[in-house]
Amino acid sequence: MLPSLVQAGFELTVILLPQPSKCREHRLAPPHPARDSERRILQEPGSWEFLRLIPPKWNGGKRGFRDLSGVVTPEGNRRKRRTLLQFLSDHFCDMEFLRENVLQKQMQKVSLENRSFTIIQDKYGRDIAGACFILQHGGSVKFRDREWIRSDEYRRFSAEVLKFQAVPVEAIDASGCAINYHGLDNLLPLKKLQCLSLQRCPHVDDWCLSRLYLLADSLQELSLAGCPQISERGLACLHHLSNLRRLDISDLPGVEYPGLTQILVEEMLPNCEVVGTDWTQEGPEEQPQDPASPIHAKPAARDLGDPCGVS
Amino acid sequence: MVLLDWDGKVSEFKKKIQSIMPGEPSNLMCDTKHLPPEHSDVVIVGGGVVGLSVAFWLKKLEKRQGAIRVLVVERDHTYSKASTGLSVGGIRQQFSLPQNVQLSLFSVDFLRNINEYLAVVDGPPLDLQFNPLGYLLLASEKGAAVLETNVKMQRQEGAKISLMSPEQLQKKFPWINTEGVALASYGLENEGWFDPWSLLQGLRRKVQSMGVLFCEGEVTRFITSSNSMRNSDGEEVNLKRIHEVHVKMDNSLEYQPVECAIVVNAAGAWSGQLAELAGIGKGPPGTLEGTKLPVEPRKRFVYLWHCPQGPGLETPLVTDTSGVYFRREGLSNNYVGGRSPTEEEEPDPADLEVDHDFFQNKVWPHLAQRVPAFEALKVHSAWAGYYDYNTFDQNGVVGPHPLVVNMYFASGFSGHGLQHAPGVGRAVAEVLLGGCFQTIDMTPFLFSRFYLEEKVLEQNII
Repeated sequence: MLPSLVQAGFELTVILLPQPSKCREHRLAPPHPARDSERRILQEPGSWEFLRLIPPKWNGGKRGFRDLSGVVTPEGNRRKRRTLLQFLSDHFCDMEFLRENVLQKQMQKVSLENRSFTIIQDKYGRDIAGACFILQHGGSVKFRDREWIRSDEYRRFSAEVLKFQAVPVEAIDASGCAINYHGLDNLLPLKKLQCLSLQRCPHVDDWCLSRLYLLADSLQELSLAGCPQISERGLACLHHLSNLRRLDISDLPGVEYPGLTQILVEEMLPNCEVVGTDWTQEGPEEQPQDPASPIHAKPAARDLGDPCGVS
Repeated sequence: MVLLDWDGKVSEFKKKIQSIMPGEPSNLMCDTKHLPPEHSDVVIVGGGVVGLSVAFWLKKLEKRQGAIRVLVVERDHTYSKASTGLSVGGIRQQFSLPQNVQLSLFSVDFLRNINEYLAVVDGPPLDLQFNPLGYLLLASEKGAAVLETNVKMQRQEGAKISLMSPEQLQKKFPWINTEGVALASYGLENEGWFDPWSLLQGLRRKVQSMGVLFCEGEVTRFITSSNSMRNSDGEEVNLKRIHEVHVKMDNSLEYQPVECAIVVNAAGAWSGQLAELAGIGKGPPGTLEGTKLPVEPRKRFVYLWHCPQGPGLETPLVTDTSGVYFRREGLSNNYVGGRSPTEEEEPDPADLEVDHDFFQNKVWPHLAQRVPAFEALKVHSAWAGYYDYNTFDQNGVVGPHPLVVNMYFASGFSGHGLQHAPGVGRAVAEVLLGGCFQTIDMTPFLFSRFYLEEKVLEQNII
């Protein structure tokens, strides 16, 4: 077990105060050894314990066996610059615990925000629950034959939403919202949804796309532009969306070969207009054309997006 | 915090003083860095995905942090023959046994939330490269009824599987030749394939950060003690307990006896050999003592080919009526696939050499029949791996042995060990720590079924 930072700090202050010689005896090793020298000292259990005449107050001596797999541990041989926080959490157990906790809390925060609105669902129906969910996240909703409803910068929205009980939700703009896999539970029951925009959503990934088949009957427009976690593996599951007419897959940093991916997606969804990579990056002649029939653009893209072997 | 083991320290100190005395062999300067520790609560034999999953769940479910010392013994740290790295990496819920479906559902949940389970401070997030494209199982007239019953059961457990008629199949996947297909089942969600190597590395990293010890060595011996008791029928039963595990280091005769409380057999294809070392199966045939662990290595080939006019991006992992399977690999019209041989065609598992004639004669004809575009294909490479094949009923063995009371099994999955590893790891940790299975009831998978001759047959083996 790693020593505790708090305890080490306490002992440092104890050292600085005048002490009888007995306490100084077990400070034979420096209190904050560099990682390698610590390992050298501590991995010779025989010599360490032999030198120690009284048991040390901070139990720094038990790191030895963790480093047995020196050959395989990637950290053992890396010489990269470490930040202070990393150094502290490698050497002290309470810093490690604190940082692990902070990490867990960050992850829990996202899941908390994506809870299902079951009470509203039971009382007002699924469409309204879905609308409230999106508005709460800062998106906008459009009911059939009505105007777009948005929430303000404090994520508040008017209660008139609750009046649209029999009106289905037609379009949702969830750009930039922190929706994740579980949050989609609120959107998937909207059986008349025609337009969905998930642009720049940071937590929408391939798993989320694999759930969109439930909207296959009604969905006609889908935008996934700018989502950092989507890759071509998630785009492949969009083949269920047979009624899709417009798909925006531009600016996806997770897609390794955007040109090739766009061609494959177009082949997969023949009735759909796929808006993807900006063809002007390759040559000057593509821009004014309708991206749905890029007759001139395709050969250029094929040259560039050449199969590069098994990915 | 570790309590001060004062008595232990005093005795070690006395040993050291004794060794300095003239006439005694000096073992002051012994270098034991490379050896495993002398004591460990749990020794897991086998560091593949199942063994690491057991280690992970043991550390996760322990009541107090640092309560259990776990040692993972793996004899090959390059994993050159381990089934994990050589696997095709598929995960499906389309099984015929409810427990297998539940295991898969839990495992898919684990994989989806892998960055919450295996998060390490300062470590980069894991990318499993999961392709959520589903499995497509084709059935002929003979197998259609069984397929339908299975799908009904899978749906009851919560899997999202759809049944398709040949017409629907032709419409959805025009590149299939539906001749001979009576019914097809298609996984809509939570099925697909992923990169098993990144799962293994992620588990390894997390498990090391949780304090599990690793050792590169081979288990060569168990030191056991036995105790004779009478059961309720008055018969004498010999219960055995493993006290020490001898771990031999690589390329040397040096070994370390590790004193342990529990041994977990997660040795994959070699679990049968390990069980024999512990004396399982040494007895008159027909008795519980004489029942061996029926897990043996079976070699399976996987071929990678290129077909320029092949099926597109939406191709699921297709399993044909003949047993041939294939899936897309990457974006360049490459495909990976193979077939399980029949009992007569079983290749010799002594090495991992690939038999290319098997592809020519047994795989390609069926592939070309099912997908006409595959008539023109070119094999680029191939590899072979082992299934830890359970010759009794092709399902895993999980849980303690009735006679060798502190050996727990987690092997014999016959080709679906990777996809069940998270669920199995949790089940073994539960039964080890708590005495019984808590979340998924794996009692049909216990060892005793081999003696009682109760088969839990898994029909959907690919």
